[in-house]
Amino acid sequence: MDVQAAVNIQRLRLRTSNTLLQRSDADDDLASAPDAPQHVIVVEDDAGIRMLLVRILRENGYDASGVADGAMLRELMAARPVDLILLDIMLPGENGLDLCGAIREHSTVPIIMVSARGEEADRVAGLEVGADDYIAKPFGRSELLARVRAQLRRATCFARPAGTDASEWLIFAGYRFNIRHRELLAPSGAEVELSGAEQDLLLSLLRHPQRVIGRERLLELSRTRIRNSSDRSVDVLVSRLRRKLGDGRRPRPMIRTIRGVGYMLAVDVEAG
Amino acid sequence: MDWRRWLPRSMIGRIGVVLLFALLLELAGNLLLFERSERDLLSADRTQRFAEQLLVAERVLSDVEPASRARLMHDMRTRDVGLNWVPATVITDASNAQPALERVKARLIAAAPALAGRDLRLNIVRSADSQRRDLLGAFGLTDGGFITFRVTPFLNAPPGVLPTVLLHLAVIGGVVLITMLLAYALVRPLRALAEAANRVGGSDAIAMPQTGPHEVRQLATALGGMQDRLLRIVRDRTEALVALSHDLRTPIQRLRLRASLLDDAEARETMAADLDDMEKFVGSVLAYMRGDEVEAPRLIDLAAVALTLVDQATDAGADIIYAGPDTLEAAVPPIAFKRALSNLIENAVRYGETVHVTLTRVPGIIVVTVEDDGPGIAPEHRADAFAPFRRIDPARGAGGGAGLGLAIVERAVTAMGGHIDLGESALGGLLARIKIPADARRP
Repeated sequence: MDVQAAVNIQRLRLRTSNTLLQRSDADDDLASAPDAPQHVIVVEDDAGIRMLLVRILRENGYDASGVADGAMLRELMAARPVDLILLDIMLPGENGLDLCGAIREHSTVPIIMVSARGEEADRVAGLEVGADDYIAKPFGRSELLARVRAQLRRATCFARPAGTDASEWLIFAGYRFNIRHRELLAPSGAEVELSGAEQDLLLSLLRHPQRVIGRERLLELSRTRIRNSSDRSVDVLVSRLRRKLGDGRRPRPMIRTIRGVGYMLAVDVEAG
Repeated sequence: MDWRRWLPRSMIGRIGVVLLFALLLELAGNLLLFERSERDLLSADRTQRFAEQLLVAERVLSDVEPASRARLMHDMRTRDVGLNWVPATVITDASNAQPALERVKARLIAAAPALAGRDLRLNIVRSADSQRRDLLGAFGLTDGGFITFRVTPFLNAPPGVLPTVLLHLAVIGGVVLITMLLAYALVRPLRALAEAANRVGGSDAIAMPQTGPHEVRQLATALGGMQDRLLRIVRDRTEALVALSHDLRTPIQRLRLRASLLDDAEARETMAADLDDMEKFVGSVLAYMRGDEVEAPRLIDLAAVALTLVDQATDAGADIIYAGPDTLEAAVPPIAFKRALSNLIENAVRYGETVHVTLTRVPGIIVVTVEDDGPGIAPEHRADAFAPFRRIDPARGAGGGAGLGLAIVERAVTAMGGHIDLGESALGGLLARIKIPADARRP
């Protein structure tokens, strides 16, 4: 292993411990100010959907406001701080992708892209311009709330020191995982498809390499996509991920089971 | 290609040219045959020797007694020329009646100019021992006698009936062959047009070749126009259906959100299930319409795709088993592959209780099978199973869906350059097997 890689790993470990530290800080903040609702802006040109989304978000304790286009969004963002934007791609005038790119120039606010086309190209384009997540119409209430919750939690839990988000790839045992596109490439360069939950799980493991993570903690970190959350579903998820990573063929599996505690990613992770 | 400018532009004109050419060729062939049968056997060399022989004989005879002249001439004969001396002869000259003889006389004079103006009588007689013919003649000497001669052979035997017929048949055969080649060239533009028309049927317009005679060009233009109009109609309908499906997503979205606000849990759940069906319908219509858009092949792990889909079905409550490698890397169009496999699995889960999915690679080909223990499809209905919006068996429609599943699979598989066949599963239901070429080139 060369010096640069070693330095990278060292940095990554430092960052990981920062992250964990910050998480507890954030938890304290939330605990001290429990009744400050988070502000979510819904950008949607269909009045009916906009009204319903705002209503559902409000019923679930968020401070939601709806706008119909980019101009109104800018106005509102100038007037009030915002914690999350739900951004439709098909908008009159400036479309959602352009708008997302424009917001990213001066803000790191979490953005969830919404598209009615449900095409792979839309998802990639959205992530490309800096969106954090992507949801395809028509979606249900629970899916919406899960995504919103996940993004808000990520924004607070995983808030990282500025400037460290530059690395897009996490490299381990020849595999490369793209954080932004949530894409896993095998050592041969082949794309390995992962379900959303498996992506979250892998990312959680990659961010804490060589450390034992308890089942509950793993569940918490990855909760976003696991529906019927239970210890068992984590085990199922881990075994699915192992199969796709070819762990069954290895004498020493990458993801190790620590009996009675949880799991550990037993390989080094480099940022690249 | 300049000579083409001289061709008539219309089909009729070109047929006329071919006909004229064929008739001229036949005429030329006949003339050649006739010429050949009447060509004499005197080479330039033989002619020269014969002419000199005559002059030498005359010179020799000039100082010899008439009594020994005949014997002397007899001694001077050669293998192909017989000579004699006679004081007078009954031989007359036929050369002004027969062009062949006239030509021989001219050649003899050209070979030995001293013969010009002399009394040279030429005739044709049948050879003694064959069907060939000899040149019989007399050369008048200045002192009144004649040297008679017989040159053998002079002409070939006159052709018999059978050889004549066969030779003419050969000429006719040759002319027909050449004419057929010309006719083939004449109709080749029509064939090209038919081939182009046979390729019509995809979503892209096929270019109609604008070559050949005027009439064929007109046909090509007409076919091209027809194709454009049909494609426009299909495209309009497709766009309408796609737009309709897209537009349905907004009201479905509204309904889904509105339903989630209902207090009545039972109503909420049944509405959610109905909306799921509607969504699937819309989704499958869009998947079918986009079926022929295939992206470039990319190296992907096919096993991971299969595992993801199988896990998804398991989570939705299906009894489904995947048998295959944990990793199988190949370059295929990823979206099309996933679309094909997910529709096969959806179909199998809809009609069967238990589903088996296998994935294997034989050199160059990826084979995927999906089988279930449902009602299956009777062999006589299997060919129809790929038609869009068609449910083979009313019982099979019970599970919902647009009747597009297999149509989507077939489109995606065909677009990937593979093919699908249906059979009977050992589980008792349908067995669907898709084979797609695995690109050996790795990116």
